[in-house]
Amino acid sequence: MKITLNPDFIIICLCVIGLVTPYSLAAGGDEGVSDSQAEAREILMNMGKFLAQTQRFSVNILSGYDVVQESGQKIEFNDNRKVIVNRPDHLRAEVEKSNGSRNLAVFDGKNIKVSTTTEHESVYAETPSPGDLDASIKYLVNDLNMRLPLAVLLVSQLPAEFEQRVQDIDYVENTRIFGHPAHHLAGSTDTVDFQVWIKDGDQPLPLRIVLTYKHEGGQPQFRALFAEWNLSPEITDSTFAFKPQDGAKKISFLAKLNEMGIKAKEPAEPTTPAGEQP
Amino acid sequence: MKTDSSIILQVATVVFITLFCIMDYADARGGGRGGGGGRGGGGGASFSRSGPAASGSFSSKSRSASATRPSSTSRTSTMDRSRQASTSQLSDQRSQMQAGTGERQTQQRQQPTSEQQSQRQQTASDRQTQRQETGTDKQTQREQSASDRQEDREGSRDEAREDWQDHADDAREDRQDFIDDELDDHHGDVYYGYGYWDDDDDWEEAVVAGAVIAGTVALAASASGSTSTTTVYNYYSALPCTPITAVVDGVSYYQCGSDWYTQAYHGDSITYVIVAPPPGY
Repeated sequence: MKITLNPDFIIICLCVIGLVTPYSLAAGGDEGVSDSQAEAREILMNMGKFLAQTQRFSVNILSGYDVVQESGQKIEFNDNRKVIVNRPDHLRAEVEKSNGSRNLAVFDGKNIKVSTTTEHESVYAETPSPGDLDASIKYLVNDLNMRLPLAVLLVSQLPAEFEQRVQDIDYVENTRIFGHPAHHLAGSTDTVDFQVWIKDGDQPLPLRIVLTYKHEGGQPQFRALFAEWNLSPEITDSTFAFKPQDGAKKISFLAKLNEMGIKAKEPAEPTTPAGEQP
Repeated sequence: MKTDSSIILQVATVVFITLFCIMDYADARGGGRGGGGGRGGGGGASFSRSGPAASGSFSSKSRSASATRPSSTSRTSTMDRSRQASTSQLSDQRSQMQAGTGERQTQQRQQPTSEQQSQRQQTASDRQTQRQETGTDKQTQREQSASDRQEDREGSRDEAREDWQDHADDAREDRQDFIDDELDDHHGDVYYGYGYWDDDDDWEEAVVAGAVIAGTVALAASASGSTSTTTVYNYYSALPCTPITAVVDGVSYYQCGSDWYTQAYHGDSITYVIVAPPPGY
């Protein structure tokens, strides 16, 4: 049987294919990513790469976080933090908390040292570093269970961390912050909605971040302003020196009590009431 | 004219009384708000500083399914700015722990008999009353002479110690249940030793967010091989007494009654961890 195609039919089919194909590529060929979303992701990744490749920097971070009280009321607490990074393995983070407590964390390449000074006492602790800055930060946060807000921004694997965590991101607007032109982006991870303002230009540094813990009751936020970025800070021997205050007590990390041989209190043997068989 | 003046006077009186009442009402409402502020000041900063947003991380432990369920640390969180816990603060802390445990028991464990439950509630209520009375007594005692205060403080400490020990005996079982539940529910939260991350992809999630007043941590002594032992530590933000201090091998220990404590960092806080007596004690 011979099939004969009408030339007009062929022309119509070609026209339809020609019209539909570009639309399909734009809409679904790139997993539905719009131009603004692609631009936002590129800006975020550029920031990640830039920070990860910056060998040393210092920055002041004024941060605040909500704590949802049992009544439902949100109360904000603040920290003022100065961070100095000198890759591959040095860090100094000095924090003044809103209650007057002052915390210090120093990675000197060999040890992780932390101290706390309050109105009532001064204590410090130290432990060997497990490796470079990335390993030490992860160890501090994950193993020692210590608090280091925005720790992910300090690791050299930041681009990979973004790739892994960021599910959606879009461009909100071009704006100005601290007098600098900035990109305002809004994105989300599995558990956090975030907004970030990134400096426009050849130094794509974060200027502000807002994190919203969307699955937590009351959806508390963490907010941070980055000020006084310095990509060539003066670093001397004293920058990463750690000298506990006079009279400071040395304590341990709770996570390392076992290793120190400090055992937990043995639970009391259950008492068997008279007349009952155990 | 007289009539006009009388009417004006009456109207002015009514308006004045109305305005006065409105102002009084407004003052009452404002006073209510002011009272809230006063409560905060008078209460000595009872606001919690602990919460997931304190971590400043791009991820949190809570997934959508756990949004209504507080974490093990936030369950008992209440900010305590002072290093020495008052009796009432410790009472609150214990009540919260008991409440948390009770909630879990209701959901997951076999219900105790109503009689037992009633007895426990009565006992808890009695202790609460006793502790409040002790607090009132302390207030009165502080106003007495120095020599009397010395004796009374010792007496108070004895009472507080007995209360604490009594509570510890009763609450130990509940706490153990609570710990067991935590271990069941947060298997991934068990902190292993040096250099081991239970989930490298979510390393930010481990951080304890802010100051907590009490909690438990399970530490694995060894993660290598097929067997590992797990030790559970209970910790608090303050001691329940004025302790006897002992320094052994450079480590400071604090004794309250039969319990020994040592200080340790956990999260952003300095905690007091209940430990075994130090060597020689």
